[in-house]
Amino acid sequence: MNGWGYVVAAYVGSALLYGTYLTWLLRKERRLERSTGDLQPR
Amino acid sequence: MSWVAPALTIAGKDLRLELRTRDVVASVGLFVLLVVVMASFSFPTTGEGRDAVAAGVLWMAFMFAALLGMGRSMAIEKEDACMDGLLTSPAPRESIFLGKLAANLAFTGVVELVILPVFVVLLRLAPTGGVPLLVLATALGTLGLVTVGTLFSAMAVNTRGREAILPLLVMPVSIPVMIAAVKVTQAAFAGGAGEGTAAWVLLMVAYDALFLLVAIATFPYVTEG
Amino acid sequence: MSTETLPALDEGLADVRPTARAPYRRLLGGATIALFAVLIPMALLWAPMDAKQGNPQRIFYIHVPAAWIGFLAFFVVFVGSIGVLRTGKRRWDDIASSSAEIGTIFTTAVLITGPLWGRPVWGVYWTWDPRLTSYLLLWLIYVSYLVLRGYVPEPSRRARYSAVLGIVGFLDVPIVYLSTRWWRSEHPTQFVFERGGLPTAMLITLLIGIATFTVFYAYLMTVRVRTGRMQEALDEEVFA
Repeated sequence: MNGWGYVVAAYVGSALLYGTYLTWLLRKERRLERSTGDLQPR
Repeated sequence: MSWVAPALTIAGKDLRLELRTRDVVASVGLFVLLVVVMASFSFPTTGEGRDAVAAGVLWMAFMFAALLGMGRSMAIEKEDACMDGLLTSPAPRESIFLGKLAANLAFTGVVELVILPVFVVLLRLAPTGGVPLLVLATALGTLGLVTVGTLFSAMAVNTRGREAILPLLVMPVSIPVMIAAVKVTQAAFAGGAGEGTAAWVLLMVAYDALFLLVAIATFPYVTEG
Repeated sequence: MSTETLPALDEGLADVRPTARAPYRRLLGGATIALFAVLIPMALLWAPMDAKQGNPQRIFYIHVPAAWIGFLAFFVVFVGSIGVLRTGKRRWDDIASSSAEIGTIFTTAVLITGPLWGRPVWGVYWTWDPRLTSYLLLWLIYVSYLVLRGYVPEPSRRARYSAVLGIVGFLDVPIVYLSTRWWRSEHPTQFVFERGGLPTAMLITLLIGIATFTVFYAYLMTVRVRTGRMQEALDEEVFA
């Protein structure tokens, strides 16, 4: 692995990490919006 | 000072209970003794850094002793709802913490007192740097460890995993005082205080003072619900 | 301090309600995308190649900002934790727990990008130097915070216990740094991170990086805090 290999690994790896987390979070939000959408405050 | 008396009473209660049942010291002491014996088999008998390895092994044993002891001590409170009894008494929360802290220090201290001579004999290591230095390291290090541990053990017993979570909570936070304790203990085995030793002692004092204050301040919130 | 003066955390239950998306969220999201669109080409192409370290030095532009966010997020956990204990309002627990989760992600990224930078430049993936060690500790404390939360089902107790850990953990990190600094300084082999004057182009790129990651963190917080509240509302069936 020359210099660029490590750079690519770091950038792509970070992107995957943040991207996966963000995707998971937004999906969770959508699911929760659906589940709590029909709830009314007491 | 209205907080001293309750603290002493609570500590006294724990110690009397322990003297009668020898519950904590027996189980913990035996376990740690086994650890030390096993460690002595893998221990290098000669060579550089022997005292460093020895100090590390010793403090691992002390840490086991402290964690097991504190876990048991709080678990005992939870059984038969003794803690609730303590909480509804007029004793201030700080006193309850200090009482438990004192008791935990005593238990751990006893186990350490047993381990040290065994350690010295089995591993053929003498505190050439002076026993006072060794005692100082042990005292300050144990205080820091048990302060944080007592606070967290009060939390741990009320979680789903009970005392099992205690090491996970205590170990990261206690790393600074453990490093310092190992360093000073190493000096005690290696022939005396080196040039950095005073700084390490100072770190332990600062750590102990800071976290004692923080623990006293936050303990009431842990015993609320 | 008697028990009467401590606010009961359950009073905060009333303010748990699903809320609409914050209006500024779109702005934060857009800004994040825009900033990354600027940062990545800058870091990979525009910034000059480091004479001594070569191209792997470019990892610096996503490693240092992530490290900064790791600390910032932990500070927010600390502030939130104090808020929980002092006011008893759920809001603070939402902030603390969200920041802890997000902080863990960024800290993980630091621990991944760090070795990837270290290996080509200094020859080793890891070293027990003060910065790396305290960063690993930071990660461990974050993880123990999240694990603790998983082990306490009751909301008010969970909030209080996490708050105590959040406070103790935050106070510990600078001490860890100092103690490992002392420790490693007794050994001759220590990696010195050159700090003396970055070339302007590199400095600009780094600053853009810090700005990008800060905005990204803020955006993630707005989403996560909202998700946390909705989850709580669902769990507790506060709603009819």
